[in-house]
Amino acid sequence: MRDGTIVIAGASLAGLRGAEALRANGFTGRLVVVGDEPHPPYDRPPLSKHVLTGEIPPGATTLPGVGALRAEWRLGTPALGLDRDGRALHLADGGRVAFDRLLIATGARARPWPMPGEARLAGVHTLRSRDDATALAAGLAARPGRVLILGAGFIGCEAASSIRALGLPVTVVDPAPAPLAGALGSVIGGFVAGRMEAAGVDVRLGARVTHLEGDRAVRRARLEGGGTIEADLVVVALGAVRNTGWLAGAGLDADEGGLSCDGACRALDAAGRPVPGIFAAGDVARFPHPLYGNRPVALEHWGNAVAQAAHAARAMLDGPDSVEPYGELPAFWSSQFGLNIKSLGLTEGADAVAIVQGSPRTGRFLAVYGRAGRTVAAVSVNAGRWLPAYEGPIRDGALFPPITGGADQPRPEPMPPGLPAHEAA
Amino acid sequence: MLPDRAAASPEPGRAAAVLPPDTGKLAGESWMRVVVDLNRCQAYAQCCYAAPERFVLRGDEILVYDPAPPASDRAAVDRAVQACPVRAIRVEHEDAPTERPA
Repeated sequence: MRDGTIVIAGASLAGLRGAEALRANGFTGRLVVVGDEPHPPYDRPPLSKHVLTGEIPPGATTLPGVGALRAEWRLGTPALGLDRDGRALHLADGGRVAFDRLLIATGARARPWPMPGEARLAGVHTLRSRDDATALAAGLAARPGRVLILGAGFIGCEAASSIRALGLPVTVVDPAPAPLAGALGSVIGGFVAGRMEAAGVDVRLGARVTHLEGDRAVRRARLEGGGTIEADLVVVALGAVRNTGWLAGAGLDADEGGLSCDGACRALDAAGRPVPGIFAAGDVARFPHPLYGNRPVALEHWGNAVAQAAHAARAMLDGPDSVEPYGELPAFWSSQFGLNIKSLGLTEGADAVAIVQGSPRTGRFLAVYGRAGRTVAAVSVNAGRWLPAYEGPIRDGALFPPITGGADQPRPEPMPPGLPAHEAA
Repeated sequence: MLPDRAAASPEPGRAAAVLPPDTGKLAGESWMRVVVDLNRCQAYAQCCYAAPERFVLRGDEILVYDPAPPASDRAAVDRAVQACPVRAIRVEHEDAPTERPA
């Protein structure tokens, strides 16, 4: 099936790389790419880093690959609905685009501050899109007296690092006991906290902001249990929700956690059956991961968007039976406070972490995560070249810890990783 | 657009006027598109030697690069792509005309 019409809903990394993979694998038909933002596909990782510091203009982040696609672009035109039986998308401009096959790659959006009136105060930002970054960078250029960041996940911490590099006072508030605790646990997160504090960030852990206050513009945040933080710029960094609202009524298994799909990236209906001709990839796709007991996961990872979109493209062209179940090893990176943090595998549910090479004392180490005695993930801090050696042990579920006698760590001592309590599976 | 390496703390918005926000182009000048797969990057720094104006390592292994170098830097950027031992750099030289919606 290399002709007909393929529509891609979503014009970010997964949509672009899916379109490229379709063409690279010989699709000669009509290709339509629908995007809610007016911009051609752009790269998000710089937005929380060098775009905020002003070193890279937001408009410079457009991704390579747009030029040669022979696609019709419907940018700035959100998809409003899916007519599953009629095989068509309804667009915000009133248009209707019929398809033979559809790739859903609508990604995710920043989780907003839950009180809409407070979220509308001037000076309250989220950070997900290029326009978000442009607005935030403009707010920073006005040299606010203090920047408050709500949430110490990767976006919150990267933003804190960038904004400190501008010389602005920064406070980060998170209910968790450490930054990055949800992804890395409080052991490794505690190391990062030390770097944040050394960089002059006011890190408030185990704390929660209940309200943002101000007249027209935000002036302060009120803390649970009393107390306030004066701030005239707030970055709400509370994670992301998947863009599945437009699929309401289409009978697919979709919610704020993602659109369920199978190992061939086929979207599943409410009864869990694959829907012919409708596929999903990237942040929006919740798929059973074969390396983790087919647990459904939706990954906000750059590498996943690239690999899963290519996988979906092959299944779309050659048929879902022609591909192995999608099982790319999860991987991501983050840079902040002079640290290059890279990760392989999934830490969720890990019951132990051990530093097996290097040492936090030297600022360069590799930590491995175990679950029930098996290796499930590895994280390098300023030690990226050590990381690929752990891909095999993670894929194989090797005994944990997978090595002893590493540099600086002759006898690794596993300890509880300090990850949040695992939700009932 | 990358700051010189001595500039620890660039002025906010200092580069914001370099490119217009949507097109990424200035009239009469064309720009390449560069993206580095930073999962793959191992900080071998060969790109930094090949195109020092466009690729910089910060700290031990944080690669900072210019995602939209001017076309006049094509030879250096191509050298960087070729020099990368883990093949992590992708470049697109020309924006083919984007087709209009049907």
